Amino acid sequence: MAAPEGAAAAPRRPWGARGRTLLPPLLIGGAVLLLWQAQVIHGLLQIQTYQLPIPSQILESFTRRPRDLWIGGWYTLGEAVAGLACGAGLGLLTAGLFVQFDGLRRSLMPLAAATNAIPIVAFAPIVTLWLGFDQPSRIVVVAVMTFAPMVVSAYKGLTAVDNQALDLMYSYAAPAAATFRKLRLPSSLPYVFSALKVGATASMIGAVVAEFFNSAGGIGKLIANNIRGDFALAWCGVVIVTAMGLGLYGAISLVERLVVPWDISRRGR
Amino acid sequence: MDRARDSLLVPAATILLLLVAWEGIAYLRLNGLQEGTFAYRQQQSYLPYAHKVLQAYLANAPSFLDAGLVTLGNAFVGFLIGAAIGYALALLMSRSPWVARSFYLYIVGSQMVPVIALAPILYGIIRDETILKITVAAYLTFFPVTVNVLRGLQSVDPPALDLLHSYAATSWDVYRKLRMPASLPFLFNALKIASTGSLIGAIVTELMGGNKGLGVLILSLQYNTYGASDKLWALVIEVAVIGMLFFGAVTLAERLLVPWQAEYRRPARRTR
Repeated sequence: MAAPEGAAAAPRRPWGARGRTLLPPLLIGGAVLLLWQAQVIHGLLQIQTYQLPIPSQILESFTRRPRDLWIGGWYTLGEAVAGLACGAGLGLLTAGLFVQFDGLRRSLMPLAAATNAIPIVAFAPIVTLWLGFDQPSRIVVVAVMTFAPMVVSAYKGLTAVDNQALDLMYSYAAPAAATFRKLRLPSSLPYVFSALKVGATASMIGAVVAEFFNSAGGIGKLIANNIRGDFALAWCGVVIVTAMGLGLYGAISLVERLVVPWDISRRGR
Repeated sequence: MDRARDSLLVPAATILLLLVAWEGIAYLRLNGLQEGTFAYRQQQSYLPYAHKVLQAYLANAPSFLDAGLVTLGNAFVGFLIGAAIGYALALLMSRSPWVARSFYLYIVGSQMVPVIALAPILYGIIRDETILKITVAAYLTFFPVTVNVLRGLQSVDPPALDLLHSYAATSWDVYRKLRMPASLPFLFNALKIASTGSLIGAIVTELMGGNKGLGVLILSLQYNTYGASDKLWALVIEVAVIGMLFFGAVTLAERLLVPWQAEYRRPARRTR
């Protein structure tokens, strides 16, 4: 998703003002946590703590099964990252081919766009039949999920070049490869990174959901295994997946800042 | 016209080619094996014949369609509720900076929370399967709608805003005549994302302990893989088709309700 523009984010404010923008959300978040911990929410919804564990129970669960959570977390993160890398890499490559060969684009782009409309995770059981219960199954599912958005985005970026710049390259008799490298690729980077950031979230969620179906390990399996029993532990899984998704998103944003400084400065953030 | 025919014909040809390739690969793997033997079933679990999948679908059409309607129905109700809540919240946020400041961070942040991962946990809180599916679908719809619509409401042309001010237009007029129409393309972008999302939400919720619907059927077929991989394929393809129909319906609604957007999207590519 693009930066939280408009509402919350403001370019370069002094710290006092920034504190004022951060204060309301922090207060609300703190209040919700307190009400949750004090079981006010439980009273309102008429539920017990075994149905919705309170934050302290969830924290305590972290210390109870640290090894399972640690191993599961790496297992799922590995699937998400490997899947995202494969899907995004192939997507970028495909977009490049589409730019060079327009006939290819016209026949295949509608299909690539159509996969956006398909609930890919439903294919997880079939992929499991092919590749087994281990990580490769989820890597493929995540790769397919992240592939199509990258193709669409990267193609938009690769073709979003200034016509005058194209003319200039042409007047230099630049070979197609040079035009691609010096003009199209840089212009595609903001689009590629925005697809990567969307993909970061989607890949974590995709890996976890695909693990729900059938898996030899991972956080998704941990959540699925504990929904009838140890709810606090399942919540730990949710917390971990969220943290990993945020971390992946943050890491990609950081790389974006280094690789595409011009776009960030243009957005004024 | 030629272009339109082209854009329909070429994907159709590609799909046909894929079907032929599918049948061919299945033939290479299954050729010579006696149907019904263990070896056949084992090979079939990798890739059943396309025509067997179709047969399996036809044989199970009533129950498959029934499950599909249940899931799609729940997802759609949740989708509508989520879209309405999401739009209302975006309106509220664009009116009140305080509300926007308090919630925006969480709304953006929660796009990164695997909300679907909460589905199983929500079973502990909401016991009714249908209500839970609708809730999850609504939840997955409301985030993209709020974020995109808010951006759309703020994306109005400043000169147009000035013009309305010079007419002494009321705030309501500005919303009705300028901001809300400007938000529609953004709304539909969000709805397209949400169409797939709400469907996945409903399926995953069923997967985690429902009694009826596509998720339940997938789960039961999955544990019966050697015998029923043609059925599993048929069902998964039905899921894909339902997803595409849902997505297509949203796109069609966009064409009808926001024709100017579709207009300007098409020739944009032909500026050169």
